[in-house]
Amino acid sequence: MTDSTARKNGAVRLAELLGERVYAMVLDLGAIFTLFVQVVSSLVRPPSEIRNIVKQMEEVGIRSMPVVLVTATFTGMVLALQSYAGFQRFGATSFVGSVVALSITRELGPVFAGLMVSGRVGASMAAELGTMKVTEQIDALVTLATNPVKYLIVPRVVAATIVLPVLVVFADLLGIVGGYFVSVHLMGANPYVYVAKTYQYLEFKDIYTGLVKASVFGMLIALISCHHGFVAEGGAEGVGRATTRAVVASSMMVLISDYFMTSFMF
Amino acid sequence: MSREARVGIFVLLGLIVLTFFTFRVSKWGLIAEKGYRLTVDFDSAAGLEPKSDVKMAGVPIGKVEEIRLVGNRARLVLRIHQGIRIPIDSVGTIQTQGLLGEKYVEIIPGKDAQRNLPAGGRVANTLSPTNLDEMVRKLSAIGDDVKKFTESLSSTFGTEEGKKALGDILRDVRATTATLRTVVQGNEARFDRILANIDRLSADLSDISASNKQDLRATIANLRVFSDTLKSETPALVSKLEEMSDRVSGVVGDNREDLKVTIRNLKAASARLDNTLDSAGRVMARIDRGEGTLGKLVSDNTAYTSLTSTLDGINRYVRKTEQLKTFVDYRLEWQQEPSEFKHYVNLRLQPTADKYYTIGVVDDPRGKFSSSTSTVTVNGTPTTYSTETYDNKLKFSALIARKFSGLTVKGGVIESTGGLGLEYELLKNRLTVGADAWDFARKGLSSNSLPPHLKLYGNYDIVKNLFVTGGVDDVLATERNLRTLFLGFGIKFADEDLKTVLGAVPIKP
Amino acid sequence: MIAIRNLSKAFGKKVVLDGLELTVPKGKNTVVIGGSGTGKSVLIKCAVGLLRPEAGEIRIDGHDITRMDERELVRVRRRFGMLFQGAALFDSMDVGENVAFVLRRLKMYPERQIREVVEEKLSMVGLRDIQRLMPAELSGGMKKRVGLARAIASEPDILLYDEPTTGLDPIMADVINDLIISLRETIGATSITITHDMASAYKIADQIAMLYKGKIIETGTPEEIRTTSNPVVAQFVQGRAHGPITDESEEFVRFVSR
Repeated sequence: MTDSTARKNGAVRLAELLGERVYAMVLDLGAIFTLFVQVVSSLVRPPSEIRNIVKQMEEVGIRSMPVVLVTATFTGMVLALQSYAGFQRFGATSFVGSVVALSITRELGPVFAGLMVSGRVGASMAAELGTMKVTEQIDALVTLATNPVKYLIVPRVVAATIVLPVLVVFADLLGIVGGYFVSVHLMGANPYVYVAKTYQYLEFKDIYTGLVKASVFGMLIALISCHHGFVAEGGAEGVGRATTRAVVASSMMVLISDYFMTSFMF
Repeated sequence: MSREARVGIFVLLGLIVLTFFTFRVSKWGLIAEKGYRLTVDFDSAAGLEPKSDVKMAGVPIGKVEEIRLVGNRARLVLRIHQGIRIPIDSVGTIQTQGLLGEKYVEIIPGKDAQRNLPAGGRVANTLSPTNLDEMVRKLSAIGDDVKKFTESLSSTFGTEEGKKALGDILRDVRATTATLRTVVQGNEARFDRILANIDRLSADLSDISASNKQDLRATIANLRVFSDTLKSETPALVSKLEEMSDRVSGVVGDNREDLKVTIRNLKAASARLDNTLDSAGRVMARIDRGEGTLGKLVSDNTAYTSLTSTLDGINRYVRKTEQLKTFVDYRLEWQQEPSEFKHYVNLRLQPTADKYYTIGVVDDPRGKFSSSTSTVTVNGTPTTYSTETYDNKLKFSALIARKFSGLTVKGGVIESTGGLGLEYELLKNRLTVGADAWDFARKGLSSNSLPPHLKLYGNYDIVKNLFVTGGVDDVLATERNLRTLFLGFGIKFADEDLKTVLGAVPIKP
Repeated sequence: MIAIRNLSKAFGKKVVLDGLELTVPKGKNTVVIGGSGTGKSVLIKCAVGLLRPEAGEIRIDGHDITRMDERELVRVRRRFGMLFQGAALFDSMDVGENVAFVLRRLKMYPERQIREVVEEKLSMVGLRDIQRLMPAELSGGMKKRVGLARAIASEPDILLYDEPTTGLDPIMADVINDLIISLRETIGATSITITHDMASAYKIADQIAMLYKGKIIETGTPEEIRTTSNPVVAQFVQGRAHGPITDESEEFVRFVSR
């Protein structure tokens, strides 16, 4: 008797937990969308936040360069290695260049750059804004006649949206160079053929769709991370939670939105 | 350096890299390239992409710049590197490189070295890959017709009556050839002369071809060029033929009498042949009228229509996914213990590539097991002998199988009891290894339970229709040497094969 | 003058302010006292428009800020200066930038004058030559003073102080108290201070209001409050562990009876 009640309570508790999670997720999504609307509407209003945008571009772009470039290089290298091993089995090693170039530009460049930026920049945005929130700095902004969305979030979103495609351009380049290095210097591919194949099937569309994706990733990462920072509560611990949520949510959103964009764009 | 400058350089560098990429991959890059354009039309440009290679003698000389539809043919715009000269009578073909079938345009250079194609010119001569495909298709259609013809012949002569008629024909032909032989024997010298003439004729012919070897070589690539050449050489050929026919008529004139006899003999032979054909005709007529089993099958319209409607129904049902495929196989396994043969016949219906149903019959030499014990008393000591006998037994199997890429999982009835099986395909599906387990509630001699019947096997396809098999049967059994090695072979037919085997059906629709 | 009428604010099911009434006279310093977690901060955040109340009105010179849209609020907020409990200095900026923040945002002075203005405001809170320091390098009292300088930078006519003396040593607390008084005198600003530090309240207040259970239960001059007959107020101002406040609160009961 007691056992069965306990079990029932457990099941109900589980359902409640699930419900809470889903409810929280829907609330989050709604809040993020509202934030997006606010960002867009305050984007056009003066004063322009150009100095802040430049500052955030440095933070998101230049500071993320090392991690994104190292990731991209090794991605290209491992891609070449794996494709080479696979294609050797049916004598199509000349296609390694094409495969590396296409995979990097269409998919892996934007996605890995997005994930790296989620981890690095998303965390720092959430932590910074979260700290500002719990120490009332955001309230202070409001009393100083400043819209915190415009002052804090707009520059981050704009900077990430602009800068991520730039990062991806470098990631594309280094990924291809990494693939070239492995294929030509380690696997002994013909360098001329490799370069020719790299460009033969690569179309401008492949590159720009990757850049469009990257732009959207940048926007989503900044929006999500800023949102989680903005709603942080409960001191240092709350900031920590917000940071974790921001990184998890923005990484997931990168992959989810990637699927939908890919299915719409190609 | 100020923050603004750093960000500016960062963005600028990105733009430079992007511009570099853009020029490498886009059409602008191509336009910036030197070279001139040519066009060439094909019936089909299937497999070609813009930027596919254009090669001459295997050397890249340009790229395909554009592919578009003009009328109902594919027009390719080629960009050829500066300084490459292409003779005006060159031939364009679409060729395949490597196993993956990367397509490129091969220009087979013409002979007219004086005149080259100008910029913007058109490669007029082409060989479409579709022509080759069509040729293969036609050839196979012809092959089918021949097959059908021989099948109808064999069915005609398969009957007793036909056999008799065939005998008659053979006798008549024998008589005719005998007569012919006597004619020939009396005129050996003349035949020698005929042969000599033919010899000379063929020598002349080979001269003709020898003097045009160059052309013939080009022919392989260019049928049109070949036919042109042939056209130009035709008058000479005709005159040679005239000469030859003159000689032949001379020979005929010299032997008029003998030939008359020959013709008379042939006439008689053909009269007999007429008779034979009459009887063949009668057979056919009987078939037409629907007499005999074959005739029934061929002529019975109701049977036919019901058959076709049934097939249509099945097809409609099956077409949703894929055409139903049918396989029949027979296999023979020699078992080491006891040294006997086990036969299998299976019918497999495969509605989609990833699943199939099998029903089959197994003739198992140790299908039934019985034992008897007898006690013999020798010198007061009773000794118990037990004799164990195996008996043939017919069993049946019915399985549902599901394929997951290389792995097939099947289950159902195996040798009249419930069973499961796993199969894995290796070496491009030629080698199959697998394990079947069935008879999970097997009872032994003294109704002690035995482990299930587990069979490990490997099949290897030697050719499409013939395979060998081998393995270990009843692996788990510990009793009475039930565990045994086996070896065997089998034949199998897919539905294409079955159609030819059962080819008599479509003679008379 | 700030007139707060029937102000109610709840967070979820928890009612914090429940029909609060308060009138803040112009040019005077009104101190709101009350226990921790009684909603003093909520009151002052509502007053500056950081929080939106569910019901009631807050009229600033007759204009109800609870019904304003964001743009009007921004305009009204220029009249406010607020000192936060933890000073809430922007820690990515140095002291000078913090103080100059609103001046730059609102472009109140040409850039070359801003330094002078910042220097002036800092000297008003008794600081000099610290423009280049970062907030992390400052002590708690200095932070508060810089926060105060920032709050008065735009020369507001309403100042809000959220626990100005909390977390400071008594000497530094008194320095801040003196500053608040002198600012009222020099700027003539209307101010609301919330605190539970009675020493500070008696020193700076022109009027003291006691917040209890979401309502203002008594308002009076410091002298009236000190000699009140209301047992609740009396318990709070005298800082006694036993009394009507602690008798009704389980939290206190448990704590006290231990």
